[in-house]
Amino acid sequence: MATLKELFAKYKYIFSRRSNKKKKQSVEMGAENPLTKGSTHPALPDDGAPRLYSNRYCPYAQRAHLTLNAKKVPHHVVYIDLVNKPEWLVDVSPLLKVPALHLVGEKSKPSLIESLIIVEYLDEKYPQNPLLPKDPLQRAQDKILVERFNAAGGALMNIVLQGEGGVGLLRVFDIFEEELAKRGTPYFGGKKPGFLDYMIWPWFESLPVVKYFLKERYSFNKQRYAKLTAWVDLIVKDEVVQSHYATPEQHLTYWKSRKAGQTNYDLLA
Amino acid sequence: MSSGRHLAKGSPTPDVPEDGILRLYSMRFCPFAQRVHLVLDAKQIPYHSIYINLSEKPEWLFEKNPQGKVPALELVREPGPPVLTESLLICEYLDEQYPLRPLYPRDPLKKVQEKLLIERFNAVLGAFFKASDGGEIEPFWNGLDVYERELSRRDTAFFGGEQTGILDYMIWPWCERLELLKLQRGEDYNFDETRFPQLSLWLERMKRDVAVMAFYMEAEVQAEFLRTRSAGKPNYNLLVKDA
Repeated sequence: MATLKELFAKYKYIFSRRSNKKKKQSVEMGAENPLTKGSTHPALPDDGAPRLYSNRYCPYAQRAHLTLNAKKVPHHVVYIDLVNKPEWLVDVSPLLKVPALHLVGEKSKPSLIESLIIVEYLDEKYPQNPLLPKDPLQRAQDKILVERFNAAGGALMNIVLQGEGGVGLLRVFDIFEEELAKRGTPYFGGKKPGFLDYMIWPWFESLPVVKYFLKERYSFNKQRYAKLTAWVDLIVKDEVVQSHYATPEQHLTYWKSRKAGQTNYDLLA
Repeated sequence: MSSGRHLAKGSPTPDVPEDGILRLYSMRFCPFAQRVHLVLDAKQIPYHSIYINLSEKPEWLFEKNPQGKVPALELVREPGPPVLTESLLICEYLDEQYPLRPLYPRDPLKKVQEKLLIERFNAVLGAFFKASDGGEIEPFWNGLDVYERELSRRDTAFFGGEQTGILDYMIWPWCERLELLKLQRGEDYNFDETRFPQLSLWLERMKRDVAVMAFYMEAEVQAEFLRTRSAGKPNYNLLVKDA
């Protein structure tokens, strides 16, 4: 007759074996050599995990990475050359857009596009570490602010390609400086980063690129943006941000070569 | 309560009762504003409509709504009160805040597929505006092909199923304006019922929908408004009955 102690020890063994089951491996393809024209679609594990078609320096794609990582959603990543897109991209992203999240685990295997649509889907499908607030009004207000921030998205390309557009970018930053002051918390999401923080972060990570191309006209400074500067210093250390971080040098090298018509991905080795 | 008269610069703040009822800043001929009216009416949410002259916006509009955008929904019962903008975001908020007669599906996958189709319609409504402005009409038909296919695939009376859903209402304003396009283009208008058999039936069903009927406008009136706008003197108050 087993004692209670023996029974407990037996069941503890079984439970610990279950949790030690081999964790699914996340696969990442094309980090150094993004898939380009003439390539074949890489072989990915047939495990039902969603596949993110991305570009290492696309801020919109970065939103999807941050969300997947924040919620620890098992997924695989394929990096794409945006200048010379592989022919097979149309099979997984019919409008050739990146980011695209291919839900191979679903019956119809749909592909989701548009960074905000992908992020909202993930936040609803995977309830752990919710990024959007629960309250409908706060959700709406956060989404409206992200819509306003979208003006900055286009501004980055203008700045790189034409060296202009700084004013538009700063006007958007003014709104967010004011909002952060109003909220009175270290992050837009409160005590820890949330939806708004991760949706705008990619552009702040690329600020050194803006500085380089705007030169003397660059005026993102501590005086005008005290709250945002503190926020940048804080959030850069966040483990989710660090999970998909590229240094200023890497960003600069990419955008310089993109401007020059070539791309150089061999930066993250 | 606004009688439909569009308020302009110099007008006093609207004479709306302080009754805790939502206020929608709108414009009678704006398809984006129409989306919000459709959702409010479909869900039977009470609201006051305050129509705005978009060419000469009243000063007080900017106090509550710094960008002066229309549509804008003032949530009078909330502290602030906050004013929401962006037609799609206002509609999503309403569907989340007022759970009766849900328009979005609950299932995250089904919901995201509706959002994708709504997002995709942006290109179609862009093509509509071009066609309405004298440009090519074929891109608009090409855009509608996607929705014909989808409706056929779903094999239901509406995109939302046996009842209207969010997709039906978000695309309706431009589908309502097919008659307008016909008026504007005359002989050149070539809507092909054999190309759009499901959408043709859907158009007739939608015209009988209560929410659609509440905001429906005859093509002739739409056309007249646009004509006055092209002439530089938009007549916002075409529908106002003078007492």
